[in-house]
Amino acid sequence: MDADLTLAALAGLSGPMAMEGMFGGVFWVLLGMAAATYLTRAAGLFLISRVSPTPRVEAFLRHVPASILVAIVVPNLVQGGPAERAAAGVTALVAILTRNLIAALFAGVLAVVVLRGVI
Amino acid sequence: MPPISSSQPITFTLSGVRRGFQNCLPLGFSVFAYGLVFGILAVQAGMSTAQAGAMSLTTFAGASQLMVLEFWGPVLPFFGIVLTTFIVNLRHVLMGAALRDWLIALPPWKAYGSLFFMTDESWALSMREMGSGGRDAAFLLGAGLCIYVFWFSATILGASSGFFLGTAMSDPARWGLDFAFTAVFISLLIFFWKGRQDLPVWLVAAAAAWLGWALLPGKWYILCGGLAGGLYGAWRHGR
Repeated sequence: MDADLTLAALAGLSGPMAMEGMFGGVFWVLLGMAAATYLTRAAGLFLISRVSPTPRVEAFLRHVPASILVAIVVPNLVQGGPAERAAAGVTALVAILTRNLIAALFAGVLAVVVLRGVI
Repeated sequence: MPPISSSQPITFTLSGVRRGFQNCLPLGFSVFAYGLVFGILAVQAGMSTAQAGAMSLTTFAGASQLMVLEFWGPVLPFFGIVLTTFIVNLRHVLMGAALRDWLIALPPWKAYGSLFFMTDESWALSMREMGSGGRDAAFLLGAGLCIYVFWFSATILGASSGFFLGTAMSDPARWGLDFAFTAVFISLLIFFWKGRQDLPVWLVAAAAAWLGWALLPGKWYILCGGLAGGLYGAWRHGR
């Protein structure tokens, strides 16, 4: 951790990251993420104080976050075995019952450990 | 300018910051646990503690931070990561717009400064505060700062203790930590569920993601699913 805390390492100027060119550096990736995120946070006020979005654009934006989550989960389940799929079911069940992310997370991780030992 | 229904003007005070911070404290603790997970997973994905901490300080958006760990490796796809971050966080656009009655009344630097700290949690509490007639817009900043403090400190703690955990165990899968990602996203999905009308959109997203995963390299299936679900939702809305 000591060496990693130097600015050079943070900026991707040393180690294997330096070989990836300008846009491969961790520094630029972090800067790009921060800029992209702040853009989304500022854009709502910027736009709404000038124009009102069409209902169709609103519908698009409303459906994107959940769709992205679906997209991430699907290949994980396709790749996973029966233990992973059953643990996914346990996770979903605990999330529905408790509405608590941490409880569902621990239940899912515990389930996958147990099920991998059994199945 | 929007009609301000209440006769009282919008204010921006230190006591508003404090009130927002205090109201957010219970959520702060669950964000803390979530931040621990991010820190641990970030180190597993190959980030240093400083890098994970820097990401939490500058990007400060949990779902997108977890998501880009899927891209993390010796070679970092800059445009894939930044585009994914942008698309994952597009919901902020609507969230910021929803706070217009507060924000439009503030000097721009206070409004755009407060928006840097806007998260799902602080936004939800602020909407409730605004809806119940709260006139102190600094509530949004206070609630956001609360999440910020917990998210950053948990990231550092998780990343540094994850370092010791990582050296102590040879196989993360034995502890089920590899499944933590999937579990987090499944839980978030459950919380996103609004009702049966979501199902067709989710099926379209799932189909597009599966196709993208089978046909395209890397993590582009995430964008495939996200765009397909969003576009289908918009198309359905227009019918």
